[in-house]
Amino acid sequence: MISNNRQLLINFISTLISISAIMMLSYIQGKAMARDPNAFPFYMGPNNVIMKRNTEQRVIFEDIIDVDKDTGVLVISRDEDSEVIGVYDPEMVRAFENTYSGAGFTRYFSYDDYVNKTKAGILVSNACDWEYTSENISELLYCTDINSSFNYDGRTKEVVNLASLETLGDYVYLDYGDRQVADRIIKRLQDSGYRRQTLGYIGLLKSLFGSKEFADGVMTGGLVIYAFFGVASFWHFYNDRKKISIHFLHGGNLKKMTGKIMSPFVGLSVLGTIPVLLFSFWQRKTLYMTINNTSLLMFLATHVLITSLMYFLAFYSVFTMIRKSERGDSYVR
Amino acid sequence: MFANLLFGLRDIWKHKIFFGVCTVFLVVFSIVAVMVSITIYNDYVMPRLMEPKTIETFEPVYTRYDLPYDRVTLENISGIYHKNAVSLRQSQSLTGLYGRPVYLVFGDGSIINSGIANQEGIAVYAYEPSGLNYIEILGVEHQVKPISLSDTCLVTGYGLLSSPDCVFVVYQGEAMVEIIHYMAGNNPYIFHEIIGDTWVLAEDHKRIEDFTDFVLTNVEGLAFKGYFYKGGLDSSFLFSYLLPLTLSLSMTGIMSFLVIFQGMLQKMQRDLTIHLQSGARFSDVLLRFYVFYGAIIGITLAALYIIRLLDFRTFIGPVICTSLFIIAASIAIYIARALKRTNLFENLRGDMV
Repeated sequence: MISNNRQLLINFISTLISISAIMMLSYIQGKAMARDPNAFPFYMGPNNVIMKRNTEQRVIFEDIIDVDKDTGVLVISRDEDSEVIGVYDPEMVRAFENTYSGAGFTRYFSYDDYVNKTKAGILVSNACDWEYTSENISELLYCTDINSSFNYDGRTKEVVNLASLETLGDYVYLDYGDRQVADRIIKRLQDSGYRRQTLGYIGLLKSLFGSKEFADGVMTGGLVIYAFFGVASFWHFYNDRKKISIHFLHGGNLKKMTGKIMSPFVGLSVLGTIPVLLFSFWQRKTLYMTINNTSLLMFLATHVLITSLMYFLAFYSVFTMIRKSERGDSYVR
Repeated sequence: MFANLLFGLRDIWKHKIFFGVCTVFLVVFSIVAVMVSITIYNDYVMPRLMEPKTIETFEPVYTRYDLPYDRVTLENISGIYHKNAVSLRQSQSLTGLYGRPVYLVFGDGSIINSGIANQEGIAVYAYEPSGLNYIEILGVEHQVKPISLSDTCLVTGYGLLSSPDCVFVVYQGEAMVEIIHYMAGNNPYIFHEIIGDTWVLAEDHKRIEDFTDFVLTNVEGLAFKGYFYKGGLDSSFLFSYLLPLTLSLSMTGIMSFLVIFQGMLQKMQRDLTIHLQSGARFSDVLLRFYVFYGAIIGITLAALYIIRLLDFRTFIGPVICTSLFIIAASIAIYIARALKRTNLFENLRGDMV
């Protein structure tokens, strides 16, 4: 059977299904990766960027951040295993969390602090000692309780002015409202030997079978669209039953006819993976898809396998229907 | 006319299995498409959708311990409060004196209660029945004007203002400058607290911008807390992820339905052509087909409507509806064109390969 318009239509459906399926899978995968405790350091938003120092050489605050121009970002830095974090927060997004602020006796980091490198700091403590001073803090701004976002992993004790530290730490965490500034800072950090950290990659299968949330369940349920493919291809052959019975009456057996039917389908399916690949590459650019190449190819192979199997099963059921019925019954009508 | 309707209904009965399969297919497919899209939509977008604010409030952040105050700054900022902006402060002394909450209102009091007139000078209001005719402030007696509690149009989180004993002392214009100057003379922080507590109508974007700009450049030691993630739709997510997904799902649905329906379509086309050639009117034949076919689409839409899946707040409902209408229109146009052919014998051929 040569490939006709309807054959092309079926293959088009298969391609559409694989696009839908890969988007749903990438959603499940994204959710699984977002459950990683390091996905949102310091409860930063989805824009957050983590940079890790990769060289021995250390950089100082002025080389990375220009206090006059670089606003619209939040930069937090700390050394590995350190209880002190340095904060540069010109937009005051982290000011006075869970803390009463009173005019005249508490204050937050200001522009002057970053310029003058004052050793101002915030203490993470439930019992506030207003006389507290240390190597990094000579002026206590206020105390914040241990549920503060500065203490998201329970390891922070002192929150200090990032400019007052001698160098930036091993890790630099960045969140932003102004993308250009953030890109500028990331660029400077990369030039100074920092490298951007990506989230731990969780494979497609692992995230599919490890999902626990209801939303993920719905998405996994979305994969029943493959069943719709089965239904559509069944009707595709059922509508063609006369043609199939003619072939059958003239000596076409299951093996021969399957070969004739499956080869164009599989060929076109493989061709159909090209637009899916292109689509996935485009999606990866928009950052909503994190799937890597191995998983992508695995998925496409599975997709071709499943759809071919369904296509064959649909043909097989129509074929047995014809074989069982009285010879020529549907042919004559 | 009615005869044709009946014929259409008879067609449905004759092909009941096929009819059922088509309807169930469309309904289930739409459910899957809508569920998937809505799940993602809720997950990503809903948390970012905050209720539309009517009032913009600010969170003051002090960056100094000593907050300088001077009258010039106060006079310069007082213009902001002429309209659509108000600040509120409970007066400790008056509250203590009268035994009921007394609020000093600076600026446009009509934001708090539509009964308060936005006019120059000092005016005192209380919810009626207030049981209070005069109130003495700094040695001057002011008459209390009644306002209705039900007119209070206020912001959640400030429930205190709807307590029925509230008294509002409203200052506007020069009187506002004088009283704030008087209070700040005793305690300069009061000026900063009043500014930090300002409410501006959210629709007055220019005033909000002017206000924040003025405070950040002219009021030393006071800043406002910032947010990187302001609510609202993330349009890049909608257009690069959700829309392609919804579209590809609906396209899958349309195409699959066309594949399923094609066999029936050809059978019908042949039947109807025979009717036409035996003298039936074009409109009658078409009506008969549309009854059969419209019922499939109609029942699907009705089923989706009944189970409340057609959500028109997002583009998901419209996309699903549009795809159903695309199916409906394309097949309807196809059959009408096929029956209008000059050479109707074309339609009598068997399966077209």
